[in-house]
Amino acid sequence: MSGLVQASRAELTKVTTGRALIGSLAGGALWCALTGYGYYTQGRDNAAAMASGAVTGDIIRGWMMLLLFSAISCALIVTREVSGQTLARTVLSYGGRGQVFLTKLVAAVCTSALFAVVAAGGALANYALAARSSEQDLVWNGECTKTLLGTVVCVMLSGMFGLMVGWLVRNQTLAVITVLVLMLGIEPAVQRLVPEVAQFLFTIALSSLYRDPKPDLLPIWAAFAVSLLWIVLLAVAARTNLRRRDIG
Amino acid sequence: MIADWHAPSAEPPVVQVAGVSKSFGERRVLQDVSLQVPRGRVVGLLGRNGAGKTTLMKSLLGTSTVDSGTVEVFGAAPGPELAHRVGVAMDGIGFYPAATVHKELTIWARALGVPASRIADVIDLVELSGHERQRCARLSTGQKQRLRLATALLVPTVELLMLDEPANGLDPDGIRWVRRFIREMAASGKTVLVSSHQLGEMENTVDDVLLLDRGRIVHSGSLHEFTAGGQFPLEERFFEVVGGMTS
Repeated sequence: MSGLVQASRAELTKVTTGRALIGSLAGGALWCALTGYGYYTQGRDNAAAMASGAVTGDIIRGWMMLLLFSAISCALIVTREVSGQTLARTVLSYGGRGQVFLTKLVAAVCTSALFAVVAAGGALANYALAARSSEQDLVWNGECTKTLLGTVVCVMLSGMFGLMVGWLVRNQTLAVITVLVLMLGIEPAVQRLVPEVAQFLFTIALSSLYRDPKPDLLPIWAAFAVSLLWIVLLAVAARTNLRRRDIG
Repeated sequence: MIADWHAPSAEPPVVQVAGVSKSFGERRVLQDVSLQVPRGRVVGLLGRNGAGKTTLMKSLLGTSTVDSGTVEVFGAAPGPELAHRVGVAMDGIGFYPAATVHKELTIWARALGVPASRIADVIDLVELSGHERQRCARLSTGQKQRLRLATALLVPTVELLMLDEPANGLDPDGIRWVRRFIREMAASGKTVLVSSHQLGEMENTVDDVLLLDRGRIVHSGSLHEFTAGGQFPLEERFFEVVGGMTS
């Protein structure tokens, strides 16, 4: 156990070395704040939407895009080691490949939790600012709370997804491109073409969790199970790959 | 072939390899390699580029798997306990480019459970004082080699040092420093396995030689015996054994 604690301390030092994490957090937060503000300006003239909590829901959903930044940052936890040729030393220092896999998982949980906290804080701040500047009541209701919780869970899950993509792809540029293409390109495209199939894809399943109003989405618990299943499948593939391949 | 050129010793060898083979696709990188590294010696693993030196070292560390044969370090297959007994400085192992020298060493000290006070000790040991705040990416080749050695020495109880091409890219001063460093490590009781293709330098550094050619150990023995007590230069003997240019 102390070995895992030591390795996790080392791993978190690695994660916070350089500007990648802070840059990703700042860039993601700026993007989401602008998106949230955009939703607010779009909906502020619609009194019914303001009163029903729909505008608040949109503002909160604006922060779900942090899931993309969380996924990329967690992928980098692995790919930075590969590109810097430090993975072999990590395996030797942590005491084996299994320990490295576990420690990277701990680092990804911490990293994605940080993004989730920023998403929650940002969404609440975005709502508070919008409510203060609005002449009408900007309602917060139970549905908004569920949307916020769903957004937090999505950001966490996408971090795990990104980590596994990192393990499987290993190349830094390719891993970032893979995350972007999957989340912004392929999965939304499949959703437009075959929505009944797309609901089982990882990113689309996450849409259910942050209560996207789109049709053809899975019920929340089914979507949660599907997204978890994707992560487990990728984790099994990543773990097998790490156990079998030569390192460095 | 098992290298057993030393008088029978009560102490088991630090490294024992028997019948190890390894292929990358169709290419056989190691072929039926057997060797021993006795305790307290400086053993030079010599061979041309591509002879299999680095792959063999990685196999000893367990970061590269073998197709057949057995590898034992301190009497057991490479495992987690190596972290506290083996110090590694390999040419192919890099750094976090964004990290400073001190941060880089902090990362590995934390991973190994080594107190932070040890960092200043190893920085002194490899003569990198004054560069603690310098980013790894901005270090010179020689400074990078020193940082690799510092990382290898973080655990004070390290018994075996595995150095892969430690003098690569160094100027004459750096090469001389590495030689002195290796001899000091040996004098302090550590076993050193050092791979290199710089034969002239190895002649001044090692006690024993293992010659690797196209994945096979083609000679193993003491340097003294191999060069007939220094009568023949190591380079000349090397080419006699592995073939190729002699002058």
